[in-house]
Amino acid sequence: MSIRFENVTYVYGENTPFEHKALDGLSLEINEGEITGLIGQTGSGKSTIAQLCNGLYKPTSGTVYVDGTDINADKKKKKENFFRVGLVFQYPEYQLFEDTVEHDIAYGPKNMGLDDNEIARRVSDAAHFVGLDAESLSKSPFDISGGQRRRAAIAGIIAMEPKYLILDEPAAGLDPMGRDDILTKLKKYQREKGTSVIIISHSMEDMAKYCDRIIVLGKNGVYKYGTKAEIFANPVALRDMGLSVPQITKMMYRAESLGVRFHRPLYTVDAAFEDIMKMLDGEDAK
Amino acid sequence: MIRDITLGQYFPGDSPIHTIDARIKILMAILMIVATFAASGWISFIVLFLSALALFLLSGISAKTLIKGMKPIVFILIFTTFFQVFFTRTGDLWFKWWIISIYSNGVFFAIKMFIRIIVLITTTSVILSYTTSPIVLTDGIEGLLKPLSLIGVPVHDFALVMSIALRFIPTLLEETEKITSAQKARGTDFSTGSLLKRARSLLAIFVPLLASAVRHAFELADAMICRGYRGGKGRTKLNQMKMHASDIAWLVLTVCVVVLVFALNRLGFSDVAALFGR
Repeated sequence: MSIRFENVTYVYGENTPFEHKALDGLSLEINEGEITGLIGQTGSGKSTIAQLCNGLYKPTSGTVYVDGTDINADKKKKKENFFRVGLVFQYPEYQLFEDTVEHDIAYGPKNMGLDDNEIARRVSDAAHFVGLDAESLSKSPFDISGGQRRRAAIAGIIAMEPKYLILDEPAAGLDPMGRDDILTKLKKYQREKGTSVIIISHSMEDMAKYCDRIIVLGKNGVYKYGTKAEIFANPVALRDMGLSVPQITKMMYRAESLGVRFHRPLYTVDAAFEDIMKMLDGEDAK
Repeated sequence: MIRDITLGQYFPGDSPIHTIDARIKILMAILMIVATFAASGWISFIVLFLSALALFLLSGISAKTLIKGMKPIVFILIFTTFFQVFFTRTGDLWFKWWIISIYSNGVFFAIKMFIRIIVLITTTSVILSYTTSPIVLTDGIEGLLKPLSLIGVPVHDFALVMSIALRFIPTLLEETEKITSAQKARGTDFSTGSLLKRARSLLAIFVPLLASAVRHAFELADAMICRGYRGGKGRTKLNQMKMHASDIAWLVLTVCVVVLVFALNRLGFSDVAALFGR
């Protein structure tokens, strides 16, 4: 089962002076049970894809399938799809509105029509996953810090327990520590729950560190879908699309051009550190 | 959806209408409104219609844009026309069938009301919204109200408040759209359920929107203080408004239209025919 786009075109403001084609005949498939990274330049249609996945946008032409069914075929089932494909918007902390964080996290599950016990379980589960303690749960969402609010907003979607979880720039505007923290937690969540997670991001570093597979969107919707190795194997092609490989991979290619041999391609600083230390140890032993 | 609203839609250009001084434009718009409501005779309406047409043609605004801008008032147009035609009971009886009877005056009133609304929208949007940028417009309002500052009215502050409000309309619209989508993704249903339930759904939009408006206000205030803003006193303008002879000519021309409308109000078709007959 998967999310599948078939020849999807999306045009903003059709028949107005502001008409703008965001996607042109895009076909892609996002596998279940993985963390997929969606990367591309500003204006490449990343956020549009996210909103097409859960049915907020309807394709101008083409079809979006979730688990094999066309999500726009039956208008009455639209709401169901919102719960199946959870979408965390950019800067989701600005959507909080209830009197306490707890109530806000419960808002989605409540709209699903679940009973109180189930809601309570989901809220505490979701709060636990994003690392919100009982004290902040009882506070007003306007009284907690920015990072906490981001977590609360993400928890609000997680509590709906969607089969697919899409996050549009979940780490934007956070400091490096908050960034790693949220992404690590998402990865842990994905591993434990087996949910399919799709992360939209600008950062190749984050993609390399947390994603299983990566979708690269070019300027005209041209995309490349593959594992990290497949995507980062061709840094020149990425550069032509206005993107680049992670810094550490760049360094690896540079070192290789100078004659250094690595055991495996490097995508994260941690892996590079490990390998280089090993190589240095090997040299000491000689 | 929200994007379709052409609120204060400004189309940059350099047509004769675009280049008129904003202060004069505001006066022209007011005068045209007065003329529209004062018109009652057929000849007056023709004069009115022709001046609106002339303004529109000179402005270089496409007919498509103008028609699109009128979409929201189509309902009002149909509604008023309907009532005028079917519920007026004076004049000659022209048509009668079952309970429907149409009198001549009803048709005449309907046509006049129709022209009146069309002219009203055309002139104000062509003179003001389509051809004047909101910033220039508020400058114009400030300029016109300046004499009031002599009696202690804080004209500059009013103008500033207005221009900030205008500036934030698109921002807040965009934010409304974003928040609405975000809440929809959480399963909010805005269209079904009891009134109370629907009102509660709207709360999910209004609370975050209000919070973000307040946030914008504080941020803007901080930014203004950082750039040394301290009120209107002794403040100069980057773009000084200059009145040209042509601006005065436009004003005089508009006054002429108003005078003409008033003067011709008493004239009917028969009078004109008589005038040419002699």
